[in-house]
Amino acid sequence: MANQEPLAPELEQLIKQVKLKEPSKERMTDYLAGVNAKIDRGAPPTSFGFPQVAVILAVGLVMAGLAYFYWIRPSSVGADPRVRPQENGQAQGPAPTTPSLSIEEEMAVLEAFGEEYDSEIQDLLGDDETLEELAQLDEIEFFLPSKAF
Amino acid sequence: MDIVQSDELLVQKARQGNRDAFGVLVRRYQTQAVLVAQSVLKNMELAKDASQNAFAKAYFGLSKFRQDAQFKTWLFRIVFNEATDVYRKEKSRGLFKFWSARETEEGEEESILEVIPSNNRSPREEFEVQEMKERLERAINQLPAREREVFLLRYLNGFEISGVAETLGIAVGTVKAHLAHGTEKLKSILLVPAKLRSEGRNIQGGD
Repeated sequence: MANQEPLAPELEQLIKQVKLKEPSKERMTDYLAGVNAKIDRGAPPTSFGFPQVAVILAVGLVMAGLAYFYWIRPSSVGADPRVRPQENGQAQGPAPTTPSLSIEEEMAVLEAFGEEYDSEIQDLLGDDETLEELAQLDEIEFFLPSKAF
Repeated sequence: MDIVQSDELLVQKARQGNRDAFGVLVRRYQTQAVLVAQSVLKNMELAKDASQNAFAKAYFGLSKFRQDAQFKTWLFRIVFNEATDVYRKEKSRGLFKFWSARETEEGEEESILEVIPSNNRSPREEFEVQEMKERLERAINQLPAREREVFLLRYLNGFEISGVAETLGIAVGTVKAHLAHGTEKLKSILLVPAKLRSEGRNIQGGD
């Protein structure tokens, strides 16, 4: 038989003369009462061992990871405002908006624009004499049509 | 008239909340359950408590018990796991014993074997058998945990190999391998010194 593996004869001889020590009858008299008491107390609490600690740590790590990606990472990396997700979730090309400039950049643009404007005006207007001539011409043009009517 | 009811029927009744039926199952297997726990814990009081816990767990887990399995094997597996759990806790508690002043007898190891009484032994033979039992117990305690458990369940609790495998939750082949290794180790621990002693006696006798 498969379950009847041979044991060394000397060892078998030893084992035949001993047995597991059985509990005394006095010790076992209240056994069933003890089991019933444990059942009445309710389901035994599950032990808090290594598997439970490992599960809690794993869940904590996942939660921390999610919190990082949800709150911290987007603000530090910065999403491209020109790329707007559509309702179906696909990203579209750049939106027709002017790129946002920093204050320094805006100041630089305004200064550049102001210098250019000033130079153009000066080119057109020339010096003070020219301005006086232009004013006189304005007056002439102003009065001529009225005389004509 | 006391009619012996099958485990299946008693389990069925216990599932429906019949505590008396479960009580019959407890009385039927209480001694064996204590012995299984005792094999792990080597302490009768702890073994009794662990096996009672196991019975309570079995009661609450009856809904999970598959009817095609044997109740006895399922129960002993719970007993074994509970005893192993208690053993681990006691072992970790033992680490703090050094600093702790309170020493209780509850957690101390006891002898798990006893000599089968016989009227045919002379006092000298009785003494030799007692000595042999102590040597066997010391040798069993020297085995690695799994080999010791397999050996005790198979040869001292009288389980079939398949029963040992189901109780420990391991394959039959693994049980056989542990048995083979354990037996070899026991032979080397027990029989070689005995041979040396007998040879020593012969030499002394020869001189």
